[in-house]
Amino acid sequence: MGGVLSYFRGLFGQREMRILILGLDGAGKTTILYRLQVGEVVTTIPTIGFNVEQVEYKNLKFQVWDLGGQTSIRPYWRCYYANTDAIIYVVDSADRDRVGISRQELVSMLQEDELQGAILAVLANKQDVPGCLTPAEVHKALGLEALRDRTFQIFKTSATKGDGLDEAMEWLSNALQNKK
Amino acid sequence: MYTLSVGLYEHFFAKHDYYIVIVGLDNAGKTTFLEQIKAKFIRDYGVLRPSKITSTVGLNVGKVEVGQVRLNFWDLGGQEDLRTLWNTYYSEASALIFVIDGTRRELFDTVSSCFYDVMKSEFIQQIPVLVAVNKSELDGAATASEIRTLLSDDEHRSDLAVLPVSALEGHNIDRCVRWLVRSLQQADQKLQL
Repeated sequence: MGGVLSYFRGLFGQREMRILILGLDGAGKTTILYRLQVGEVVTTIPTIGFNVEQVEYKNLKFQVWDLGGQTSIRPYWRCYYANTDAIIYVVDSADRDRVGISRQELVSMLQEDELQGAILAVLANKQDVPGCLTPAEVHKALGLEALRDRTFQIFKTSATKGDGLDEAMEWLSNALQNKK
Repeated sequence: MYTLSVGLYEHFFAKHDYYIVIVGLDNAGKTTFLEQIKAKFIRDYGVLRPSKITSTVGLNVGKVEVGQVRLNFWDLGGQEDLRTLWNTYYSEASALIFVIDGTRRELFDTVSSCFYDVMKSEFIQQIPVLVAVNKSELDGAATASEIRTLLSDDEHRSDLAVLPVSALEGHNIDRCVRWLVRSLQQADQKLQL
């Protein structure tokens, strides 16, 4: 009986997945959000507050929140943590100076109780910039080897060129379906 | 009396946690192997189709309960520049699985030196190591004894097994898990004595 019920739930009750896009200011979060939604590069200004859009990918619906990344508004990220299924953490791979700050923000975010079940996709963005960090370097710089209990994956992306985002969404949708 | 009952309860019912790190060259089939373990040991697990599995750059975790034992798997990325990250997991590992693609003979030299590097770790020398020769369902795949000649384990002081597996078809997966559980429990008993 339970099997029949869960089958129907799978057919009709498809809950929207809630995804947060986080990262320092200027990492490319808003560009990524609109690349996902309309498939184009839009001109963005620094986000104060948030952008939220519904994104569909292969019959899955995602509610994607892009939160402003400036120092003064990062403390408000936590207001959005409840019921989050996945986090897309965006890093500017060309900004070697601030990757340490990015690491601190990521570490303190992942300690939050409300995010314990969330899957993590790290986007090493701006891969089109020469001399940027490779995924392995991003892995080390963010201290990701300290994660022991969470599935995560790093993707090379260039939001302005549209590279790598499909792979990331594909992985996220598989990992999320798998988690349920 | 309370402490005694809690102690007895824990002795009989508490799950014992073990941590198992899965390494090997890229495209050996580590993630598919872990997916098969999950499929076989977790009830109602929606297994990821192998065609949907991409190269891991990061970590896949898996928790599996077998009897009184809970196995926590860490499946790591195998690409060349990611291999330097493996040793950050070694100190906490209770066992290691080394996955090899048995069909790619041109990589066997690399496999051999990679395994040698893994076995240089003092942590790994003290814990059970399982070598899974994957893709054994394919024609021309190397046999376990052929692979054994590639592996040097002079400094290793715990159990070692080389088993042919097929992560795609699920062949020999339960045998690997049973071997792990047995070796882990034996290693524990030796420590207690």
